[in-house]
Amino acid sequence: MKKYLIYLGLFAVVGIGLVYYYTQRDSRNDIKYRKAEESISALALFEAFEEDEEGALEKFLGKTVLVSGEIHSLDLTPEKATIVLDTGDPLSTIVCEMNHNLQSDFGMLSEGQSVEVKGECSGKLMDIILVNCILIN
Amino acid sequence: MNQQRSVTILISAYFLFSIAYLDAQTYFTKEGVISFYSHTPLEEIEAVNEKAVSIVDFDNQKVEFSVLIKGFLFKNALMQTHFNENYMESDQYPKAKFKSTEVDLSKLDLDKDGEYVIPVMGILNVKEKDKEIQTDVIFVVKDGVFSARCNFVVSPSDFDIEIPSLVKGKIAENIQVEVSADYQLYTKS
Repeated sequence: MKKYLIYLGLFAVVGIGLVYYYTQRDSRNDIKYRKAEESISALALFEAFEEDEEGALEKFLGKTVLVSGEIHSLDLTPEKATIVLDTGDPLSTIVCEMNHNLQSDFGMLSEGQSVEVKGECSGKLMDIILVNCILIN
Repeated sequence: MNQQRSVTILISAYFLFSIAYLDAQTYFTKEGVISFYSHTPLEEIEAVNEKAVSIVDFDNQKVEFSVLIKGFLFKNALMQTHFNENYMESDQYPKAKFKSTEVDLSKLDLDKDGEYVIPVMGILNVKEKDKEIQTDVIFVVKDGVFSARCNFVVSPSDFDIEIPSLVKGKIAENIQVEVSADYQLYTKS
């Protein structure tokens, strides 16, 4: 009986631990390990949405996308960072909202620099917006 | 002849001015901030989206907002996942939009610094469901540019969003929404 109680107690502890882990961990940080479902240049991504927004949404919305391009501008504060990639159209860019938990120091970046950013495509308003992004190189 | 030439110049100047004036009457932002809050004794839920697009069109007397649902950031990642997958179905309905139906922007004087409270009525579309919204928008003018802020209340049921009975006590019937935006003049490149 005592043995069963010990096993039950261990099982409960492990179970509670697993529930706590899966409910409290920040799954957004998994972007670090997630494989990109699409790899594309900033210009090609912009053109895909320009030519066929519905088709582009079907292909990219909610997917992990690796986008390469030149930095159009940077918006860096202690709390958050945004890297904006150039598409040739200043009113319609690729906006990459960075995951501040994984990376917070972007001081080495500069406008015109070529970078690769991995993130989740959330769709298009005037810009195409990627959220939960990390800088690959 | 001189008089005729003067009249021609005046008329041309008038039309050129009109075109420039028309072009100068649309303001926009790509960094509007939309937050929402749900307060219950069991759970506090809040999320913020800092990439809302909005235009204020003085010529056509309209105010519009558009926001990507996946752009709402929660402190709790699991909440964000449930929000997108279970409640908003953001893969199917990626955007929420607001379009004004009634607003009198003539009351807003961009040449005079100050606060202007202007009632706005319009349609909020979420998950392809419409809800009429009426709110007072506070426009703050300073040095020829302006910002706007407002708040209003919506319910999940307004957009046929079903809350499972298991979590009904954790999500408020009335969700507080706050909107703020700093506008700049839209100029065609």
